Amino acid sequence: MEILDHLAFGFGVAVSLQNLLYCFIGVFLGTLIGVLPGIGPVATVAMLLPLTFNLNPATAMIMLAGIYYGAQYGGSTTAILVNIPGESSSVVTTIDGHQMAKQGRAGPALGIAAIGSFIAGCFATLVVALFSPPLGEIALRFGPADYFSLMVFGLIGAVVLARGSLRKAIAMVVLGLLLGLVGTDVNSGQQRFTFNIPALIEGVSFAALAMGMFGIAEVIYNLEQRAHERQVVAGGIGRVLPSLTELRRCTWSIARGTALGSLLGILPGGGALLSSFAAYTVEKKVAREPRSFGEGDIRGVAAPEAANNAGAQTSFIPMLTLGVPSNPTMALMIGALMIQGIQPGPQAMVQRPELFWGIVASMWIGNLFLLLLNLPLIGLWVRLLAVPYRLLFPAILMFCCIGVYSINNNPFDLLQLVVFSALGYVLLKLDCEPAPLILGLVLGPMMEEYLRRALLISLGNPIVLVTSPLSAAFLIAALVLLLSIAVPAIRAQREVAMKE
Amino acid sequence: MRIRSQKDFWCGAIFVAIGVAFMVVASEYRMGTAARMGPGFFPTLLGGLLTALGLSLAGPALIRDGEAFPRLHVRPMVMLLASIGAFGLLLVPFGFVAAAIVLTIVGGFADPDLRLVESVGLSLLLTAFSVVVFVLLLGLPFNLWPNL
Repeated sequence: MEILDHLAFGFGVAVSLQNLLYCFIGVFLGTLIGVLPGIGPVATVAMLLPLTFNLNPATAMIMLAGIYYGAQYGGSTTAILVNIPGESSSVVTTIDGHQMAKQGRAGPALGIAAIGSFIAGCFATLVVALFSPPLGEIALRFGPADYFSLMVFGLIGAVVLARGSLRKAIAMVVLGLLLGLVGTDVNSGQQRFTFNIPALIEGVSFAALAMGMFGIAEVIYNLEQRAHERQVVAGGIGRVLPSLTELRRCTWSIARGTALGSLLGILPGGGALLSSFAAYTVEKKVAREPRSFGEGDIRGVAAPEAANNAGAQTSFIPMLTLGVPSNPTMALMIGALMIQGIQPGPQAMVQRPELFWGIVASMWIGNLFLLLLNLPLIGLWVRLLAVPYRLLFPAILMFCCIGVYSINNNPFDLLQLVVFSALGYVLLKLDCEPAPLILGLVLGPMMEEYLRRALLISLGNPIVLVTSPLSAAFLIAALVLLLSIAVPAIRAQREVAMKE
Repeated sequence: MRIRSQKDFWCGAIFVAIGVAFMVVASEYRMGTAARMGPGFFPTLLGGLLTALGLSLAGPALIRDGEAFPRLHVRPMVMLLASIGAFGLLLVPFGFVAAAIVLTIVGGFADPDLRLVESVGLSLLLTAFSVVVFVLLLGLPFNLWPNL
């Protein structure tokens, strides 16, 4: 079995002492920061990004992946104990998880979340290992037109799942694409939108944008809400390990959540958020007594937690094989790879197998750490939750500034942080979500390059985008997605789903 | 004429302004042809798209009722942005320690319920922590003290 050889090779890479250490640190720090309320995985990854710049690419990705899982799990902890989802993918967990906590069953809720996540993570890792290589091989045959249309499809997918107005989300994507063009044009050497500022020759600071829009803008937003007082569930959390009856009750929920999450994670715009919503809905449909959902049903925690971890894992597939991010966290990963000088995509997979298989193997190891770390450390996370926001935000401020500066050691990047924080805050107040923008930022230069090549081959005739069958298929899929949103019935349902 | 939906109108206006600005700047770059796209081609295309999207937001906002412009909370915004700006300006000439203390104390004013003593204490603590972790342990190349 070829796949076993590959996995063995991957474990060979991941199990070096250095990689294990960074994977562990990543999971630990990710959980630590992710637990803090109001900081989601994107902000966590953005804040910790600079820690990885001095590492070699494989180790850096392994650490970032660890941070991502950790942050994800940290968000679930907050969801269960404080009823504040750290981010959208743990929104559903608050429904039954927080009820369980109120009934004094916080321990089993946290336990089943960790166990479900672990099982889902193991399975999803296999999915990534099985499906990425063939997909990568297909992708090697993509022409420039196919790639361009794939990216259009990916961006539309992400936009359709963003909250609120569709036009605003598309505008944010376009704005991101434009910001991505700042810097030296690779083709002509022309400096674009740099206004003779040397620091902009290399383009907009990716980290400054990510931290401004996801970090500082959020801090401003949280501070103005002024309702920093949080109700941490009083009393102990009780035993963490769920009882055997509870485990048996959850077995199928975890299995369903895992399958659903693995599937949905691959879709553009999919990943953790969509997976957890879908899993919860399915559980409610399948259950014999659906009434117990919403009142502390352990299956309502197990399924979405399994699904969002599986989805988080499989969303690596399009990122690693095609170089197309399906959600903002993956956009950050691509940004991190590009800072390392690696353009993710099918070529990178062939040329740097150690990177790809090392990440795959580390996914499993990361999940193991997550389980080993969280069951005993839950008490520590609970105490962290009690830290008031007024003590927290100066620390966030400090880490963001150090992070942004340390990438290029250039004070100008801090000015960029100021600009993007202000822009992010104003746009946030106008109901424009930053996630589509960051996807656009990463894809901007690539889309331009693929469009340029496609049109060069077709002598400037844009019809090439529909005459290539693959490209046409992607564009039709994008169109269907767009239309599906425009149809009132589906839109109404989407709004309901977002509200829930 | 009264703008019915302030929020969407100004949101659209921001996108139009940015879109037009990109198109204007891009007009100085060579456009090229579709077959040989110059550096100005794609930005102009996108700028036009952003402008169109902005107009499609702002236009209907004139006729259709909607939300008012949201109240921007100036204090947290100004204080946080000022603190980051100050950090950027002070870092090189005055060193990390001074810049970090200013950053966290000025930033602390972003919280309307500021407690000054606590804020100063936290600032010193965070600065000490960062010096140990980022400069001493991780070896980030910061000058700790003023460059005399």
